[in-house]
Amino acid sequence: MLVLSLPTLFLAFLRLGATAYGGPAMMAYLRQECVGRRQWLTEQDFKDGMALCHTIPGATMMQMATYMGYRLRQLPGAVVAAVGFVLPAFLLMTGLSAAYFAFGELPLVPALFHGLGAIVVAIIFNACVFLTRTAVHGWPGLLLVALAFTALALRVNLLLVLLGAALLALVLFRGDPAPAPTRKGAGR
Amino acid sequence: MTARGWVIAAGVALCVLLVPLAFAPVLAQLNLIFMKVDLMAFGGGFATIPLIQREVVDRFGWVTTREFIDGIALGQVTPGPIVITATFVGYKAGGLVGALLGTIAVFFPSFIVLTSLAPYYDRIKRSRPIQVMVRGILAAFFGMLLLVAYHFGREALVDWKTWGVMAAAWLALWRKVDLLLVVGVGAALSMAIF
Repeated sequence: MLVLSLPTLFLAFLRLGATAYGGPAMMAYLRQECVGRRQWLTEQDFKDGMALCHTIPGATMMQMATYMGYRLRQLPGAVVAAVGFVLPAFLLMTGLSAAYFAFGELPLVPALFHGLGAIVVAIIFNACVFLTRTAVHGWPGLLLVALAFTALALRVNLLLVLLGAALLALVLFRGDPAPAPTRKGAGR
Repeated sequence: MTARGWVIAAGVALCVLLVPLAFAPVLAQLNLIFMKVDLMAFGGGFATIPLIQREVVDRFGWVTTREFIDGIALGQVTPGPIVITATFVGYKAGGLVGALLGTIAVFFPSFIVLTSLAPYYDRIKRSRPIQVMVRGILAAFFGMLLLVAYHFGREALVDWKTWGVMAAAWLALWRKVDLLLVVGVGAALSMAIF
């Protein structure tokens, strides 16, 4: 396996963190940069990482950056990759938040967010469509969706909902064939 | 992960947790909530939206639904993960320190999970019960996300123009138009028509 210095790794992930845009499309970008162009990981390593990051909790993109850092330079690599990847977004978001809460009342700003809010609704609907493809197969899946919707509307404890869903899935999905190895979408 | 690595990680975790706890209850609360959100976020960034909504908007009222939607919109124009909305919420609740803490808290627990599970990667990947349970949780998040979409829709879709923007944006996303392009064109259009 090739050896990268930690500063090199940090700068590379800083650059990736500043240029990775577009929700689920980011995963393709990350693959193209790290597997295709730089050849840090093999295609199989990348796929394994994706399967793992979809299985454990946390933001998938961030997990992938951490996973690659870990594969390349163990724990220090993971720290460097994660911090580098999130730093551009953090700085930009802090600046934008400060501006939003300071200038939110200026004339054009409410108009801007009026439209952006509608787009956010569209983005969430789109995420729902992605999740349908990956998580919901047949009536057992739909039943879980309906139960979770109702539970959240009734303000049931979230941890209980997730535990319940996990246990119900063991019963409901018992007869299903093994899940597909690569699950795409909802990757942001 | 080596024993030394674990000690360092535990030290960082303790500092992140205990320092704000001693000085400002709001920051400690923020910290705990975002750590909890992170640990429950099976299925990636979008799964955190219903979780953050429940805790931050419904329970603590740090931001309003309107502000939360706007924060997610800002999360779309910044690069990187959508979870960066935690920075926005943290900023509102606790200024710059809040923004920093919120950001660390929403990534740190899953970072520990990922790095400490490294020796068991293969076994997790092949374990059928784990895969099935995760699928159940994903389905549950789908249901929760639908409810969030309903809440957001009631707040953001107030007239035929907002409905029109939403429909056009969804159609574009569905046809795989680049997200940044959709948001950019939408932003320019919004300032013209609203």
